[in-house]
Parts: sequence; structure tokens; C-alpha cells
Amino acid sequence: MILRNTLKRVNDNRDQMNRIQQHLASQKRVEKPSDDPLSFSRASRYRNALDQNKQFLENIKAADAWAGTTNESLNQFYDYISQAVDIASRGADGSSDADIRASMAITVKGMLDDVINLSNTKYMGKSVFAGTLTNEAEPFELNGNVVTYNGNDDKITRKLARNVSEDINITGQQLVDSGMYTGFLELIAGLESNDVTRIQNSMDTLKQANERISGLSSSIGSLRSNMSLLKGRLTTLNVNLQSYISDEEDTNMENEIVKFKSQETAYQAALQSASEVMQLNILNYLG
Amino acid sequence: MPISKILETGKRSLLAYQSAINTTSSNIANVNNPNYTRRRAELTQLITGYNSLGLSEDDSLRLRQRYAEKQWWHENQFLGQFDTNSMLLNQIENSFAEDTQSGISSLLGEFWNAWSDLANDPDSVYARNLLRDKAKLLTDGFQRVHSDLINLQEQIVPEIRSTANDINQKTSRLAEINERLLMGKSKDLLDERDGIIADLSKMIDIKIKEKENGTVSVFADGLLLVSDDEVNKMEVGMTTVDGRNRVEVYLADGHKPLTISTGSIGAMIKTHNETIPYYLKKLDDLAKSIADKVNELHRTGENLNGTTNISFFADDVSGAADFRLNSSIENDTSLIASHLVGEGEGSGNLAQAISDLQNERVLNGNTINDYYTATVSELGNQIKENDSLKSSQELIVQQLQNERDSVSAVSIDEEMTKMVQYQQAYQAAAKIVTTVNQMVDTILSLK
Repeated sequence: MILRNTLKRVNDNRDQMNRIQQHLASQKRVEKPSDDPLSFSRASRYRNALDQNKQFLENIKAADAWAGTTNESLNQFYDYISQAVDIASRGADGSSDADIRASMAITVKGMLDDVINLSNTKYMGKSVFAGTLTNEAEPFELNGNVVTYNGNDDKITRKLARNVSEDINITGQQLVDSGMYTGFLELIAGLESNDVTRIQNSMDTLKQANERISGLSSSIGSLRSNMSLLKGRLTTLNVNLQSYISDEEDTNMENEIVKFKSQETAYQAALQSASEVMQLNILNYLG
Repeated sequence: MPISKILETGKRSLLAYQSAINTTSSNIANVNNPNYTRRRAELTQLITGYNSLGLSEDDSLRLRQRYAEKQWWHENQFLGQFDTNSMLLNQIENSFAEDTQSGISSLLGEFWNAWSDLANDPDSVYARNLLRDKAKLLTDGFQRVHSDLINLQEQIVPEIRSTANDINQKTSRLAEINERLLMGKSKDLLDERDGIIADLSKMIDIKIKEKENGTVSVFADGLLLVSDDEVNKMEVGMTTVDGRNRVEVYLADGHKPLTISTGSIGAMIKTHNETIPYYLKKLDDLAKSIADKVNELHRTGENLNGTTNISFFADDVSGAADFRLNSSIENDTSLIASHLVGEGEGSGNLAQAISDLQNERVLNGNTINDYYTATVSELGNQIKENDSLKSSQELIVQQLQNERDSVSAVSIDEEMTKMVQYQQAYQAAAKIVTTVNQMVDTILSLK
């Protein structure tokens, strides 16, 4: 009886030490559901949220790169249009004659080629200004004095947080609607035909286009600053989630080591008392 | 009073103490035999003046604590149940492998994120192939857990059979013992009988009726397993209910299956017939609802080739076992729909919508991830509860064993003390014989 009781106590002690040792070695208090069902389910819910947030951060990273490319192109449009306005104002000036205007027309044509090229900008092989028809290699085509848009006016939507979805693209149609291409074409026509009124009209169109383009650019800018706020929020949230998970799952070293030490003492005491109890025997005293 | 009577008493005392020391030595010899019941030399007959020559071995008493013994046999069944249950439940938990990267919850997370990756880059072959691979990992994960559980379930059957065989051997031996006890009591047979009953009580819920002559009747679920020298053997049979295998235990002479819920065999039957099917069903529901919900959305979408109404997972998924991708999607990832009908290929709206399924309460008001987490936590709870029951049951059984042992077990201290006591009595008896001898000499020398 003494033997059985002692064995059980010693075994219990050793099991406990074993468990604590496992917690210490794996640094995890909860590995399997049965270690602590409540903590396990909480931790896995947090981990689920963490996984989603990590994905949202990925989404933001991709959306931001896309928006960055868009923004850069918009800024260049702005520069080209400003230059064109500049040329137009010189072209409308009475000091220019037909020859000067013809040479100006050639410069502006070159600029329009650049603008068309820029309108066909690609990010990772996808046309940026083609609506959702991103596989279109040349959404914008210049044939003589006609600009054709082959994309659509659809928005690309990205999910950036649990309840946040944002349109991240500027469609080609928005560029067309800005009057940028019409302005360039009008300017070229005005310069070629030496028509000052037409040049002045085109200048108005171009100025308006510039305002619209800078409007688009600022909408992309605010999208990007939005995303950077979201990114900051998600990153903080993830740090918090990580610490919740760790609270639920990880071994509290100080705690466990103290427990281990006290368990060790208990184990040694159990062993020692066991050895002494087993030596207690009447045979020692019978002569 | 004749002097020879005193001599006779002396002789009887010598024989009695010799027999008492014999009993003591038999006790000491069996100090580590768990089935042995301590015996005590019954010296009262010496005084009542039976006309026998001292005490024979048969006159010693088996010392029992009947109440503790019965309680012990009763509680043993639960210990056997919790013990076996603990082992089996842990195996079920291991099948889910939630402590590794291949657990379904992390595979699910990767699966949903792969859809979102596709939404970021709808026309990329890379994102499509990645999604297919993650989906395959997920379906493989379900199939692996499913087949692990089925394997475990199948492995339990031979285990039940061998336990039933073990029970049959033990009941047959009890019948043999009964038969011999009918011819006359033997303490060694009684010890063996009690040992067998103790073993038996861990395996199955039994009721014991002991008769005056030491023979026992053993009942399980109200039916006789052993009665006198007859034994009713257990048989294990398989049936199929609703497509799931059930294992049942019958008696050789009966057709109605026994209801056994405790003991190690009870735990095995319950795990085989109830626990594993329960978790299999949960897994099936989960697999089926993932397949249905994803397919439902996927069919409304359009792929890069402009075709629509294609399922992502196979259409006939009925559970975890046949959870798999649509084979045409598996062979050609460009068939994976990523945008809604009419949208350009740059839109990832459909892929994102599928990824968003993870937040929808599609399964009895739970999200898919929550349902899975709840399932494994439930298992965890079951294990935890069983383990705490097991350790308290261990204490109860140990307590009862201690109680029984306080009467039935051999204590060397006690035996040695008794030996000294008997030895002194033996010496005294010898002294009496010597003294009587001297007295007779004294008488004879009177002339």
C-alpha cells in the first residue's frame, strides 16, 4: 500500500515536471487543443484575423505600387500639358508666323506621341490606363489625327481592410474626358493651319485638362495617403494580435521556471521520503 | 485430571503454532502477489476443544474487506473507460495535427489568402497556380485527416476483438474455478478468482453475485456471462448504419447487442461508434460547405477564356473523403474565374468575393474557420474533461484498493511480529511438554 501510494505520488510529480519541461522546451504552453481548449480557440481566432490582416497588407502593397505608377504618369501628363500650354501661348502670340507655328506643330506632335506612349504605361505587364482590360497592349492608339481608346471605363477594386474596398485605377476614359488628347490634337491642327483662334481655344482646353489631370492626381494621392494610414493601423493591430496570441499560447518563462523549481523540490522530497519509508521495516529491529 | 491430558494439550499447541507459523510463512512468501489475500491462523478452535490434531491449513481464514472489494470492482470499470478513452481521444487529436503547419486551420487561412492574391493579380499564371496548389493542399489536408480517423476507427475493431477474447478467456477460467469450488473451497482458487474479477472489472461493467460456496455469477448488461460452470461467450459483430460501420458485441446465445458503455471495451465501442463518426461528420459538413459555397460563387464568375459556370471544386463533393478540385481546373488554371461576367480581366472582384467567404456565417451561423476551430476545441475540451475524470478516478480506485489492502494485503511488520509471538508460544508449549515429562518422571520415581 505504501509502495503504491509512493509510486503514484512520485509518478504524478514526474509527469508534472515532464509537462513543465515540455512547455519550457517548446516555448509554447498551448500546442494542441487539449492543452487548453479555451486559449486554443481564442488564439486560433486571433491567428485567423492576423492571417487576414497580413493579406490586407499584401493587398495594400500591391495597390500602392499600382497607384504609384499611375501617379507618376499623371505627373508627367501634367508636365507635357504645361509645356503644350506654354507652346500654345507662344503660338497664339502675334510675333509668331506660319513657319514658326509649323515647327511648333512638329514639337507638339512629338509630345503627343510621348503622351500616347505614357497612356499605354504598364505595371507588371498590365496596362494601367485601360480600365479592367489590363491585357490590352495598346489601350490608346494614334491614327493620323485621331486618338482611339480601346479600354473600358471599369474600376479595379482592391480589398484593403475588413470593410474597406477602394478603386485604385484611373481609367483611360477619365483621361479622354479630361480633354487632354483633344487639346493636343486641336493645338496641332491650329498650329498647322496657322489659326490663332483655334490655338487659343486649344489652350483653354489644355488648361482645363491640366486642372482635371491634377484633380485625378490628387485623388490618387489621397488614396495613397489613405492606404498608408490603413497600413499603419493594420501593422499596429497585427502587433497587438501577435501579443494576444503569445499571451494565450506562449510559455511564461518566469512562471514556468519557478513552477519547475518547486516541482523539482517536491519530486526530490517524494523520492527521498520514498526511500526512507521503504527502509522502515521491522526486520531492522529484530535480532 | 490425568496428566496425559496436559501432554495432549501441549502436543496440540505445538502443532497449532507450527501451523500458524506455516500460515505466516505463506503470507510472507506472497507479500508481493497482488491477488493474494492475507490469511490468518484461526486459533479459536484450539480452545473450543475440537477433537482434531491441531490446526490444519484449511482452518486459516482469508481476510477480506468485502465492501471495499465490491466498490473497487465497481469503480474499476470507469478507470478502464477513462484510461482507454484518453488514449483514443489523444489519437483523434493527433489526426487533426493542429500543432503542425499542416493543420486544417492554417491551410484554410492560406487558401483564402491565395484567392486574395489572385484578386491582386487576376491574369497572372503564377497567382493561379499558387491558388490551385493551396487549394490542393487544403483538400489533401481534409482527406488526410479523414483517412487518419478512418484508420484509427478500423484499428479499434481488432482491439475490441482481442479485448472480447480476453474477457472470454477470463470468464471461462471463472467457470472452471466455479466448477472446482463446487467440489470444495480452496483459498488459492479464491485468490485467483478475485484477481480475475479485478482484471475483468476494468474491461467491462460487470455485476458479481457470490454464493456461500465461493462460486460467482457474473452479469453484464443484466445478462449472465458466467453461471456455475457455464460460460456465455462474447462475440463481436459489424453492422452498417447510414453508411457508417458500427461494431456490436453479442452474447453467443443472444441476438440482441449488449449495451456496454464503461470499461475499456465500452470506451472503444463508444469511440468507434460515436466519437469518430461525430468528428467525421463535422469534417464532412465543413468540406461540403466549403465546396458548395466556393462553387456557387465561382460558377457566377468568368475566367480568362471568357467561359463561365465552371465549378472550382468537383461538383459531387459529399464530404472530406472526396473533397477535391474540379479536374479541369486542376489541369488548366486559366479556367479559374477571377472576375464577374462582363468585367475586364484586370478585375479581381470575384476572387476577392470568394476570399471574403471566410467572414461569412455560412455554416449554422458560424464562419468556416470558426466552425473548424469550435470542432477541434470541443475535442480538446473532451480530452481535458476525460483527463481530469481519469485522475480523480485513479484516486478513488487507489483509495479503495488501499482500503481493501488494509485488510487483505500482507504487512511484513505484522507478519514478523506474529511470527515472534507464535514462536514464543511454540517455545512455551514445548516447555509444557518438557515440564509434563518431568512431572511424569517425578511420579514414576515415587516408590
